[in-house]
Amino acid sequence: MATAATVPTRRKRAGAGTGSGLPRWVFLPAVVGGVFIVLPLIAMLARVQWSSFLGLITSESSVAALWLSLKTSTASTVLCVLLGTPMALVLARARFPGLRLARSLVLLPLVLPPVVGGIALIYTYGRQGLLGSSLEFLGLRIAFSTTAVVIAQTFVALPFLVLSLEGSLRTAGRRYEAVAATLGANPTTVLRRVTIPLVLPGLLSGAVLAFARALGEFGATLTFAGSLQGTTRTLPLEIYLQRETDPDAAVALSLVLVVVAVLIVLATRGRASEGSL
Amino acid sequence: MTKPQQSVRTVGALELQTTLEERGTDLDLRVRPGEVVAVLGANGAGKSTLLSLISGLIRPDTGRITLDGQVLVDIDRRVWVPAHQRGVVLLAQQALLFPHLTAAANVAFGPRSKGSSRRDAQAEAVRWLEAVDAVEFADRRPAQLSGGQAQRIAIARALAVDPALLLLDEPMSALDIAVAPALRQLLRKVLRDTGRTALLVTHDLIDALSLADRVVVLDAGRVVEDGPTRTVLSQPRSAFAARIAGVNLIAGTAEQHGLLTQDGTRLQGMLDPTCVIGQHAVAVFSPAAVAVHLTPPTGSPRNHLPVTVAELEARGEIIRVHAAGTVGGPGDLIADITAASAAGLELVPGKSVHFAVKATEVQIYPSRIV
Repeated sequence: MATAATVPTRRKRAGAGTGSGLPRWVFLPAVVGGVFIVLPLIAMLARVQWSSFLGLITSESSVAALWLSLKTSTASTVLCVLLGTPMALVLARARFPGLRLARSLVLLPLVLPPVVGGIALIYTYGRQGLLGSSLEFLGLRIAFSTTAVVIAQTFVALPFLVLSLEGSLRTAGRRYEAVAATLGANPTTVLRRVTIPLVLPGLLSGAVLAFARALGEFGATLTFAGSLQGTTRTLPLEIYLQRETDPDAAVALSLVLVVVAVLIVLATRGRASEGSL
Repeated sequence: MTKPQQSVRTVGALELQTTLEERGTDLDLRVRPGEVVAVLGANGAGKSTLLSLISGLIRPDTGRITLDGQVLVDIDRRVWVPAHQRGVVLLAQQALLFPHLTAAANVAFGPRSKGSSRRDAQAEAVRWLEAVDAVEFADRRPAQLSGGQAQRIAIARALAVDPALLLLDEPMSALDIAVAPALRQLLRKVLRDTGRTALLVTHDLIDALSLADRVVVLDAGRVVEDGPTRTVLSQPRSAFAARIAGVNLIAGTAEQHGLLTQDGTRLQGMLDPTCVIGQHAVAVFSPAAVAVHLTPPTGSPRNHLPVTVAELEARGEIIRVHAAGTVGGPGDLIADITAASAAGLELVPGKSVHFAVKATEVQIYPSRIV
């Protein structure tokens, strides 16, 4: 009788805690990981000087940095969409030798330390660089300009858009495209009226991710574009600079970036669930 | 190259001779304009490959495909016409309506792609939605349509581009069994009304019976049987056709509760709801449902047909009796009876007997068989 009584109890206990079918010990490291991410944000929030908060984030240098960050991140997101969409299309749809190698190379900025990316950009577009001398000849000086900021941000953000869009293209498959072709649509019409509308959620979330990456870009920007107020000093650079002289301002500006990041995450999650087929 | 006349539809003459090693196919097929050809075969026999080759979704290793004299593919001469320039539309199992467009915009997609103005394409869409009885769904998104409704819209979308050749890849197989008959009736209407040339891949005997003039059976990537629907389905030579077919078929016109053959023989049977009285129809019954009698059975609700025994074929415990109809009567028929009753009846070739079959065992379907 004792066994008959314990069996249902045990079953009930196993089901009551989780309902997910996971072993219960998994929840412990999961919670530790969650705390690991959230705790620093709370710690930072605790240090915000709310009385001077508004003054700190509206100072001339802060506003200049924020404005520059938004401008350059928007510009690089547009560039990412214009260049990344065709790249994702080729990677997802075309078949040619070396495709796998091409995909790995495209994703390189994702794993490269940003400072290394910055150095690579210097030797490409810098005054002595591969293209830099030709550009100089044309009267274009890129290094240490706002253009350099946009280039650095595009360089690091592009893989995010390509990855996200390529995934959407693969998920969407080619069946609708085949139908459209047999209905008499030429490849450009198929792309414009079928492929792009179908992967629009993926394109949007890719663009938002690219924007977020561009907004947070630090290493490549500092290396390649420098830190000139109003020209190349974006918000992350401003925060790093302020940290030495005015920690309260650094914390306040960090909070601004956190808020922007949270908004972006919420936006992508919303889009992603909407777009799921 | 003669230009086809618009008034009389004579488009859709297909000649195909291709091989594709990757899929293990070596296909040779001709389709006459206005003909509806059912393509039967087991999974992997090459049916879908055939449709993909014609529609331009895959490229053969060798061979040539022409449609109305225009070369679509000629590997030797390096000719390749892309899918969107072929005038061939593929209707698949799934409706595959573009999910981001309304039903009407889906139908208008083809005409728009061919360069019609927005207004003309819209008018065309309305016209075809009317033809498939789906005007009320015009503004709905595909997600708001049932499978049968979506497939109706897909038919309208396919017809709106006025294809020279319509390819149908098991268009009813993904549908609820309750809505398939209505869709089959719709396909009959659109195929017959317009004299459209079509290739219909199917697993379903009834699809072939009610829609096709001719049946082609594929096996292991080759055409193993090709002939009029009636011949292939009643006397299948290939194993696959024998499995789904091997039935008795009697052609005639549908009438109340039965079928009237050309020579005036009446058969009682179960009329499919899609039958129209006075229209071509075919009575189908299994050889196992046939009883053999020496004299006409009296006072029973059975159909009985006078026939002459042509051949006896032993199939294990069963004897298959092949019989020829009497002069002017229904054509060749088969009956499966036990060896014991065959012996009792003293059946020999040349003997006159009566085939009897209960009315409830006879299914009557609309048909193109004459």
